[in-house]
Amino acid sequence: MFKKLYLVFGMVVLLLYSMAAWFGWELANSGSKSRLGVPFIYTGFRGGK
Amino acid sequence: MIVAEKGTATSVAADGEIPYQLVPNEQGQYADLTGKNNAFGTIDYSMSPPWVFLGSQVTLADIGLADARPAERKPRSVSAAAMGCPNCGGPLSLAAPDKTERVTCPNCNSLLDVNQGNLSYLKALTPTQADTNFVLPVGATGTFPGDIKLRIIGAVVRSVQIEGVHYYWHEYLLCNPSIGFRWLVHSDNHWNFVEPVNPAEVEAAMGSTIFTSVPTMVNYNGRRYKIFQDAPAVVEYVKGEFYWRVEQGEKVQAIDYVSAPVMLSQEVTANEVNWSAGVYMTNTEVEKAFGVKDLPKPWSVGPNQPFTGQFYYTWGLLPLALLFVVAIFMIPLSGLSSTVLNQQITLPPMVNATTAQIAFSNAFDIKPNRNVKISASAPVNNSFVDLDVDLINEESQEVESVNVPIEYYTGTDSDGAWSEGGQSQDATVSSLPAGKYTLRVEGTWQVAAQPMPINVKVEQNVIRGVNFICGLIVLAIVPILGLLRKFTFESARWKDSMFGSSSSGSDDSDD
Repeated sequence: MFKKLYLVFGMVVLLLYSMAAWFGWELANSGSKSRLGVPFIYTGFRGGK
Repeated sequence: MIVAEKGTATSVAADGEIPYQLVPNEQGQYADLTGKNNAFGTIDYSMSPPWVFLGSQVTLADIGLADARPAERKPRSVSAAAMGCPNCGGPLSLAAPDKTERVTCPNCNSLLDVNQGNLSYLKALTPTQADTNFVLPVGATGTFPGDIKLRIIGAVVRSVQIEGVHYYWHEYLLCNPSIGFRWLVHSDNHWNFVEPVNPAEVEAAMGSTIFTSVPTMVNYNGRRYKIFQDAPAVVEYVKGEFYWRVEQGEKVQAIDYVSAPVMLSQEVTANEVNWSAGVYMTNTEVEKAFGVKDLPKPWSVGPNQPFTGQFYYTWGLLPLALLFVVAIFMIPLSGLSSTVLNQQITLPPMVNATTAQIAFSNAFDIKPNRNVKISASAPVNNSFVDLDVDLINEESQEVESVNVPIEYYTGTDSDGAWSEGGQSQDATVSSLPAGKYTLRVEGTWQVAAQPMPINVKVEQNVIRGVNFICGLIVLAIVPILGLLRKFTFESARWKDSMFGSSSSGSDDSDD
C-alpha cells in the first residue's frame, strides 16, 4: 500500500516538475508576491506595487 | 566427494540372497561419501582391501515408492502405540517407529532408547535453566508451502555459550513419511524452516579467509553466505521422539552462515558433518501453518531475517531516475535561453538621500511560458545601490516587481584582503503573459549626488536548476531514509554475530 502511494507521490512530483518546466514556473522566485527563497509557484501577474 | 560420516556398522538382519557371507552382529568400519548431484558412496572397511560402493541418493518417489510407504507404515504405528514406558509403565506412541532411536516418556520425563521396537530406560532428564515451555506442542501438525503436512514429533532445547552467557533456542523435529524429517527452529521468537543440504554442494567461497579452521564465506546454490556464528551447541532438554540417539549434553560444533532469508548451518561431530538450510518464516506464516494465534513477537533482528524495505531504495529510485530523464528532455523541448533586453540606463543624481530616482527602459517583447530573469550591474565600490525594478505590460498596465540590491565592499584586515557582495545582481520570476513590456527602474544609492549608470538585462528561458534541486530533494528523501533503515537493520543483524560485520550482500526479499 505504502509502496503504491510512494510511487503515486513520485509521479505527482514528476508531473509538477514537468509542468513547471513547460510553463516556465519557478518554485522559488523573486516576484513581488513571492520573494526568493520562499517555495511558492508563481504563475503570473499579481498586480502592481 | 567428501566424507560426510564415518563410524562402525553392525550387521543386524538380512533377507533374501546376499552376495557375501553375512555374520550376524559382525561389525565393520565404514565411511559415507557424498558428492555433487546427489552422488553417494560408501567405503566398507570390513573387507580387505576395503570395498568402495558408488551410486546416487534417490527419493522414494524416484523408485516409485512415494505412495506405498505411508500405507506400509500404518500397521507399524499401531503396533508401536501399544508400547509402554519401561520406567513408569505409561503408554507411549511413536509417530516414526521405524526411524526412532530415542524417545522421552511424557509421563515420567525419562529418556528411553528404542532398539528394534524395544524400549529401554536410559536416564531421567535432568532439570535445566533453559525455558522448556515449547510454544508449539509435540504432536501438532503444520501445513507448509506446497500443501506439505509435517507433524512435530520431537522438540529440543539447545544452547550456545558465548563469553560466559548462555543463549537458548528451541528446535522442533518435523516428520512426514513421504519426505522425511525437517526442522522448525525457534530462536529469539524468529522462526526458520530447516531442510538438510548435501554437504558436497557447499563450497568455501573464493576470497574467503579461514577463521579457526572454517571458511568465513561459503557458496551454496548460487548464493554466497557469510559466517555469523561458530560455537559449540549443547542439547539442554528433549521431548518426544528422535531419529538419532539424542542425549542431554550432546555437543556439536555449530557454524552458521547467513544470506537472508537463508541460514546455512554446519554441525560437526567427530564422526559426522551435516549441513542444513533454514529459510526465515514470519510469525504470521508459522501461525498460519499450525493454525495458532499470538505467537510471541521477535524483539530483535534475526540472523537471516530479510529486510523488507528494499523497495524504497530500488524501485523507489525510479521517480528520481525519471526526474533526470525529464530534466534532460525538457532542455530542448522548452528552448534555449534568449536575451530580450540589454540596455544601459543612467539614473540622475538624487535630490536627497531618501528620494529615489526613476528611469524607464526601451520596450521589449516577452514570450509566454518562459521564466524571466532580470540582471542589473552597477559600478559600486564600497557602496550600494538598491533597485526596485517593475516589469510593466504596456497593453494591460499590469506590473510585476522585483528588488535587485547591489552592494560591493572590499577592504583589508588582519586576515588580509576581503570583499563582500558584487557589482551585479539578478532576480528571476515565473513566466509572464506574452506582450510588450517596459522596465521601470527606481533606485536609491549611497553617493546620492552622483548619477548612477546601470546596465539592465532581461533574459527568458533561463535554466536555474532550482525546480530540479527541489524535486531531487523531495524524491531523494524516501530512498535515503530507506538506505538508512537498511543500514540500521544490518547493524542490528550483525551486532549479535561473533563476526560482527555489517556489510551484507544478501538478496533480501521484499515482502
